[in-house]
Amino acid sequence: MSLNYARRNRLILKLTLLMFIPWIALVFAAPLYNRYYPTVGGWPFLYFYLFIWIFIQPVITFVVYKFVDREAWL
Amino acid sequence: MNFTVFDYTVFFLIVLAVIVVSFLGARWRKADLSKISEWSIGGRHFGSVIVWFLMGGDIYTAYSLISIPGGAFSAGGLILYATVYGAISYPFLYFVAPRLYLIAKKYNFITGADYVNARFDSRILSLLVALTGLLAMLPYIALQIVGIKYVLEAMKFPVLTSFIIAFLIVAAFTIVAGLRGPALGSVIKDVVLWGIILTVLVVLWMKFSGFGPVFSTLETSGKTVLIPDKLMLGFITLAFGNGVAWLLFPNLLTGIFGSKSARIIKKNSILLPVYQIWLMFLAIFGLVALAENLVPSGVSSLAFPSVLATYFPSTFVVIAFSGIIIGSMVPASLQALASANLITRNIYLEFFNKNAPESRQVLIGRIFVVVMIFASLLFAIVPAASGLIFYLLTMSYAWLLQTLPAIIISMYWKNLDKYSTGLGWAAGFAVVTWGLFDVHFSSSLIPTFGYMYVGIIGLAVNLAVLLVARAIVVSLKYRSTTKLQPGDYADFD
Repeated sequence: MSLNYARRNRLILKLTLLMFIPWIALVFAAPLYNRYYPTVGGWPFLYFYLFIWIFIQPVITFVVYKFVDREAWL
Repeated sequence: MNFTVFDYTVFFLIVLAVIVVSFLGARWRKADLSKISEWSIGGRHFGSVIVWFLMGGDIYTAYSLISIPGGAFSAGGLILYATVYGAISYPFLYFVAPRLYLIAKKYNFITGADYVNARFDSRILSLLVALTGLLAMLPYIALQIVGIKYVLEAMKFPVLTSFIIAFLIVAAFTIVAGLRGPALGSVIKDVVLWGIILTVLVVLWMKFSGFGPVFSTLETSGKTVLIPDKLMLGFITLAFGNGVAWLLFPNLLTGIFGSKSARIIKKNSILLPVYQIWLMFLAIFGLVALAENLVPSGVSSLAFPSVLATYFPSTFVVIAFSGIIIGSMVPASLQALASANLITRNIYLEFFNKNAPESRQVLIGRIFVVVMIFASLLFAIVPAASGLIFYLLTMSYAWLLQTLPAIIISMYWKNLDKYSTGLGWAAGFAVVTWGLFDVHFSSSLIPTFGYMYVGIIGLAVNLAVLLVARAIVVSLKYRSTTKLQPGDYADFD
């Protein structure tokens, strides 16, 4: 019973990190990040925001790989 | 633009290198290529690096080099959905694909439709899924051919002949080496394309001091670089719908099933997003063309070639062209292979010759590689049909999305039956097709629904019908059958 409970928590954590966070931040927040200002290094906020997410998303997936699924890299 | 003899030599050397390496693929890691899984998915031997190139080679093709800058040039920020949907696809890949892979490995499945057949114990549903996949592959292969045609024309080759030669080569190396050919070819292809994009990036970055001035020029001249408010719903639904549909492409499943273990797939969903950097910069290259008014004719597909021709010497342009050629050949070969697998396994084997030995399946597969490539070649050459490609292309993602319940949801909802899934598919497919007729195939965003993406409208109807049908099926106490065991659904090796 307690094992199932732990497994369920892990599943919820995994779903949140892998799906809910990127979905909200990138898809449903689109009306919020679709703006020109503030600019970063001349880039409109829209472009800069999506650009840094290209790097954030693999990091989140790596965290799940390493610490939730506890898989070895090599 | 005029090219020197040296330019032509460079061009041929690069293209030739890919062809030679792809042929060598047949000998690579000695295998018995008369076995269907050895030929069609490389015997499930591929490690992280090859799978990375293989899947990347498949997703990021020469088409992105033309269409992403073109999209930014004509529609501003809307095209950024391409960078967003990867962030939907990769975590989804991480979560869902290992489960599908482990089932496929246990039962020696080669296509998604193989899984559907066993899961629902229904060859009809499997056939529907296979046909949806085939329908989606055809315009994709044709598109690669159009990319090649474009380059050959620009280089002043006799188009029709060189075009047919290029595709005989693609067909030949797919036939000889199976998945091993394109797997090796995609390594060179990506090295060349990465080289081109990074070079263009560095040169333009210096020239336009980090692109800031490009954005401000456009902003002050009143051309929007943002997502138009009217298309916000379209942006959201396109990103979401394409992100999910992505995994359902038969050619991507080929890459997934060719992996050595579930861990390789997980690692790749961490590593593959690196390619997304391309898409962002390609969109910005399109904006450069717009800001500097490099395409007076306004033809959006010329945005990237114009950037190359304006800022680079002819030798570099030629290298970029060879990149586009091999960036078309390799994906075309992968897509033809995935289609041939569907025809062999889910149509020929299932409906015509149940007892075909493996060597015969490989033979049929090889024949259909040629048939698919030839069909797409006709598509690309006949002018009336080549207009149709772009219509079909807008439909392919939307249609494929309708196989989501059959391939993905069914792995989690273990009681889901074939009738509900089939009816949902039919409803979704009909809605998508109607929606595209409604806008005369001009776009996949439907004005009647606030410019919502047609695939999502279809999926909503699909799921609604599925739930109603499921309620009826349950009330009739129908018991569904499956050839899978409850213990087959696992997420780890």
